[in-house]
This record gives sequence, C-alpha cells and structure tokens, in this order.
Amino acid sequence: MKRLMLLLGLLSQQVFADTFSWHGYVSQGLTQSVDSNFITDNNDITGELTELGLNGRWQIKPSLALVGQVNYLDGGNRYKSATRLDYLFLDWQMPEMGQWRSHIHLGRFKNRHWLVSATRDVPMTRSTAILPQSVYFDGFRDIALGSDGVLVQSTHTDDNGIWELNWSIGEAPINQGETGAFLGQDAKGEVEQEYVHQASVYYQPPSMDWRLGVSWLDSEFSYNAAPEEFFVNGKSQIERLMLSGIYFAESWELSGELVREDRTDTGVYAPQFSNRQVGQGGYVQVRYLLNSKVSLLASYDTYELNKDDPDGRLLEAASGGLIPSYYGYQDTVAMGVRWDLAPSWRLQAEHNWVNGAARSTALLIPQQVALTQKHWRMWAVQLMYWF
Amino acid sequence: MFTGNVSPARVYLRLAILVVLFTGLTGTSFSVPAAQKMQLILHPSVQPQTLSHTEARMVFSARKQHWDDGTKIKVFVLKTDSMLHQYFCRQILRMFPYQLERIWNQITYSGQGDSPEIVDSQEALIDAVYSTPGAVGYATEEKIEQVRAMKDNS
Repeated sequence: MKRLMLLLGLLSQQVFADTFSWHGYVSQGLTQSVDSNFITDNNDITGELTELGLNGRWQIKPSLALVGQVNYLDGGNRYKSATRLDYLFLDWQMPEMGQWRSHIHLGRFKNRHWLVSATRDVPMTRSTAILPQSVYFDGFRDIALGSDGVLVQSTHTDDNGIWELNWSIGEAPINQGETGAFLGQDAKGEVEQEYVHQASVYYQPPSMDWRLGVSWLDSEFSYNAAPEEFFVNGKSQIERLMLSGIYFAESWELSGELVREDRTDTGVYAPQFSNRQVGQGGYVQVRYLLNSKVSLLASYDTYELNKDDPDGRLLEAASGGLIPSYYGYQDTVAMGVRWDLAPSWRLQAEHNWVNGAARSTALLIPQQVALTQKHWRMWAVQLMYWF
Repeated sequence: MFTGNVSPARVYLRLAILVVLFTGLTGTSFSVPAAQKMQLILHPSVQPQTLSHTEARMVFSARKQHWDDGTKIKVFVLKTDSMLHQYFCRQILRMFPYQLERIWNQITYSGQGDSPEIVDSQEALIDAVYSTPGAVGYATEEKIEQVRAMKDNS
C-alpha cells in the first residue's frame, strides 16, 4: 500500500511538473519628483517604487491553459498602491488554419495592442521605470493594462515575415484613485468604463530587424454623480489611434509610438455641457548597447492636451487664469542606464527633465496647479530580479 | 568632480573615458566564433527530425509551443551571454540575442508560455535534449560527435 501511495505521489508530482509552471519578479527602487507631486510630495526621496509579481500557467491540455498573475505595485503618487489580480484567463489555442495560429483569451486578459502594454508593470521588460506618459499615462494604468472580456490573437508566420492581428472587447473595473485621475480628488461619485473595444495589426519582415503596427481603441466612460456634489452625471467617449514601431540593430535599437486621442465629454460639469478635444503626442527612444550587459538610453516624449491649443493659452483663458498654460502640454527628455549585474539581475537608473504638466494631474479638472511647476524633474533607480 | 573652472569639453572627455573604462570592466565583446558549424538537435521522439528556418524561429521564440502530435516543446539554450548562444541567435535565428530575450520575458510574464531552460554547457544541453521527450536545442557538430563517441564507448 505504501509503495502504491509513493508511486501515485511521484506520478502526480511528475504530471504537475509537466503541466504547471510558475514565474515571478521582485523589484525595489528609490525615486523622487522635484517641483511636482507626480511621484512624491514635498520633493521627498522615497522607496515607494516596489513591483512584485507571481504568475502561473496550468496547461490543462495542449490547446487549453489557465493562466494568471497576481502583483503588488507601489509607484508613489502615480497610481494606487495595492495588490492586484493582474490577469486570469483561459488561453484556448484554436486549430491552425492556413498557417494562421490563433489564441482566444477569455477572462481578465492583457492589453496586447501597444508596444509594451502587455508587460508595462513587469520591470525587466520596460526601458524605463516611468514610461512615456504621452502613451502610457499612469493615471489610467489599470484601465490600459487589460480588461475583463475576450481577446483574439492571430499570427501568420512564413518566409515572408510575421503578421499579427489582435482584437479585443471588454471593460475594466475602475477604483476611486482612477476616478480621481479623471475628475480630481474632489469627485465623490463613480466612474465606470462601459466598454473598451480595441484592434491592432503588426508586421515584422523576415529579416526581423523591424516591427511596425497600428492600433485603434474606442471606449466609453460614464460618471454617476453622488447625491450632493459639484459634478452631475456625464459621459466621456474616447477614440485613440496609434502608430507603433521598433527597429533593432546590432548595438542599438530605436522605438517610438505616436498617439492621437479624440475625446468628447458631455455632462459632468453641467447637464448641457459638451466639449470635444483632440490630444496628440508620442515618444521616441534610442537604446545603445555598450556591450551585452550595459546599455544607455535617451528618450523624448511629447504630449498636447488639445492639438488646437498646443501652448495651453486657451486652457488658461477658459479657466479664468486659474490653470496655468503649461498644463496644456508636457515635453520630457530622459536619459538612462541599464546594467545586467548577473543572469536575472538588473540595475536600472534614469533621470527625466520635464517641461509642462499635462500628464501630471487629473484629466478633466487639474487639481495640482500649485503642486507642479512649469519645469520639473524626476528620477528613479531600480534593482530587479526575476525567476 | 565636475565643479570649478573645468571646461564643458573636458567634462565630456572625462565622461567618455569613464564610459570606455566601464565598458571594458563589465562587458563581453560582440564578436562571434568564426565558421562554427552548428546544428539543431531534437529528442528522437520528435518527427520529422528537421526544422525549417521559419519553424526554428517559431519554436525558439515560443510562437510554437507544441509539436503536431500535441507533445509540449521543451527548449534548452546556453546562457544568453555565451558566445555560442549569441552565434546561434545571429546565424540560425537571424535575430539579436537581446531581441530573443525580450520576447521570452514578454511571453513568460504576460501568460503566453514559458521561457527556455538555460543550461551551463553544451554537454549538459545535449544530454537534456536527448533525455527529455519533445526537447529541442543546439550545439556544435564537433561537440555532438564527442558526446556520441563518449556514450558509445561507455
């Protein structure tokens, strides 16, 4: 009987080892924002730069797997620090059709439509701790990371290159912190995402040295005002178009994304209020590899809240001078260095010089007017380990 | 260090010297061994026993994770900073090693699959591939012959 139990134990251990795998990462850093409360208050240096994650993949059968990841993130004032269920979905691999391999992800899936959206909270997959805010605005971090719904990903690989098509529809739960990111910290009601519908297509040639893609997003948010507050019920419709590209060379790489964001707000401030504005921006990054372990990074990121008001004068005038014009744009120059200390160990540092404050505050009602200067800066040093 | 009456040109010169020194202290060069004859190796259970260039790239970049009979593909590679791995990436996969490493990380941490298992030596890699059903890896023809000869003699 003991032998039988031992045999069954060994057998189940082997089966489990063959069908289940898990991985994780640990990262801790130091960071500071100077002349802005974007990361820290009062120009403090803080250790509030912590990212921990643990994921598992259970291969139920060759065509079906259950995958999930739990993480804990603390980014100072950039987003709410908390433990999150990052993703949990069924990954179904459909039968191959004419060299098209397709996966359907059902559940809480990752956004795979932008260059680093699927792993923006995984430190060793990013170029910088603070991503270019034109595209990866931290105020909407959780909304942009993924959704509850369905994603279909199809790839076609042959001697002519790789085509990748992605389509998804779903909605993301929004916490009070993100309501604040939308309307400012005085908002007492609730923002809900009604839906987010996305599609993207990427191509990579046989030489594999570049990858180019376009993506489209359509989303609607509603605001349900609390019984007694300044705001009223309202809606916000956002359509985003993006162009993404990356070029790989022997000792350097160039990546960039352009974004155009068309937003129409109705209600919220007054029942009859309606406003449409188009924001635009993008970033370009160059990484130079000094050798296989050390690389340098230079980045330029720019964003205009309203393309018809690039210097923010209309914004300042419309607020009666309450909101300075530099809240209408944000330009950031960043320099960084990365050092792979040992396999699975990395030290990364960066410094960002910022002109403007468009991405440092709530989207609709800037609250931190007194807290961000026209010229400010931020830096971060991060040590990370993954397994 | 850079305070006082030091001209900007001298500051840049010092910075450049620091970068060069740092590179020398921490780095490995990008050169690859000349005329290495490399070969893909597959567990005997995998049929057919050859992979096209496109298939090899799909397997090593985790776009294909199961063989046609449903067996899970287990990929073995050498350390990413080893000369042979760098040579394999450039010559066989026609990718840069940092590209492949990034794909592995993105796939592993977004729930799409597992990254390859890293082993310390060619001998260990050949042993691992031949003893793991569904496994695939690479080695030089010379080393494969050596391991075979040793097994035949033992």
